[in-house]
Amino acid sequence: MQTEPVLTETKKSSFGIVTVLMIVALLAAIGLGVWGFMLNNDIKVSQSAYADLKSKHEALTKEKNTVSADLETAKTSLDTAKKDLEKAKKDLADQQAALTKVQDEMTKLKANADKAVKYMEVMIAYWVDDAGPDKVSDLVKAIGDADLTKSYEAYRADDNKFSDWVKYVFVTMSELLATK
Amino acid sequence: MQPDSSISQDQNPIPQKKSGKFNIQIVFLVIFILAAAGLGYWAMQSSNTLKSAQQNLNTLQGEYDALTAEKNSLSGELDQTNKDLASTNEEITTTKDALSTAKSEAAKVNNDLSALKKKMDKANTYIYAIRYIYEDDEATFLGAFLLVALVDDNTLTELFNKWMDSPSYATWTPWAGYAIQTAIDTLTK
Repeated sequence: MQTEPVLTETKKSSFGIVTVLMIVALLAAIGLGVWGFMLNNDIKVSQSAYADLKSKHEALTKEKNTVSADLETAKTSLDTAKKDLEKAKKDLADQQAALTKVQDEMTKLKANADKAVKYMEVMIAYWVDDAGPDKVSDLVKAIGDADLTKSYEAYRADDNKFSDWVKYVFVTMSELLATK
Repeated sequence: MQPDSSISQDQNPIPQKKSGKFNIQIVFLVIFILAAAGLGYWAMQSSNTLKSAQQNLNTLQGEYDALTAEKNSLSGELDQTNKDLASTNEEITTTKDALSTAKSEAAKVNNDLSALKKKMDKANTYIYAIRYIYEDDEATFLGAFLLVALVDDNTLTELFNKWMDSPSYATWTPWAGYAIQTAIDTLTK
């Protein structure tokens, strides 16, 4: 009668510990299973995101390579255009310099021709129009050639100087009209 | 002996029953522990895999961001280069237009210059005979005649011949006057 209760307590105690351990192990297994499942889902999400991003990365790399190639082409075109512009600017500068030179020559020749006409008008007045000495003198002075004036005045003072005056007029006239 | 055997019969079944129950529980306990250990190991592995995957994702995201920045920078540079190119091409067009205008103007001035030179040369031939007569101390009628003939103007030649046939102020003035007036007309018209 005294032995039986002792056996029952031992049996109950062993049952309780094992049961508790069993429950703990079961809960742990369930918990770890749930955690593992959740982690696995996260891995799938992460891998999916990685795959998406990798795809985007590849597309972006392709796009970047295209832009890079376009940039290289544009830079080459710009370099060529800059060289063309430099050449065009140089051509323009050369052309403008040539134009200025021709314009200067034209201006000089026109001035010479106009001056030559003034010398001719003096001789027309003298030989054709029979203008008086004073009129001729005015025309001579109007030209503004000191040597011509001096030569004419010398002729007025001495008729023998006529040839010198006319010679001076025609040589000067002829030199003014010389184009070479 | 009977009571003894009944006592021993009472005592034996208790440990036998207790031992059976205990073993099943232990088996379940071991199974659960092994399951927990296995699942724990799996979860740890998954955790490591997730960490690795997230690290890879972060690395790739960093590379993607860097690539995006680089691509944006290149796009900006491309836009600027295209603008520079357009501007340069526009400048080339403007410069070429100016060059074309300058060439046309130069051609016109060259033509004008050429025409003026012709006029001046022609005018010079009209007065050169008179210059020769007054400049050259050894001037001859023949020399003057040749210079007049070079002008290739019949009126001038005729007037000169008259003066040559009968040298006087009255015959000199018409041909000299004609020569000078024609030279003036050549230069001013």
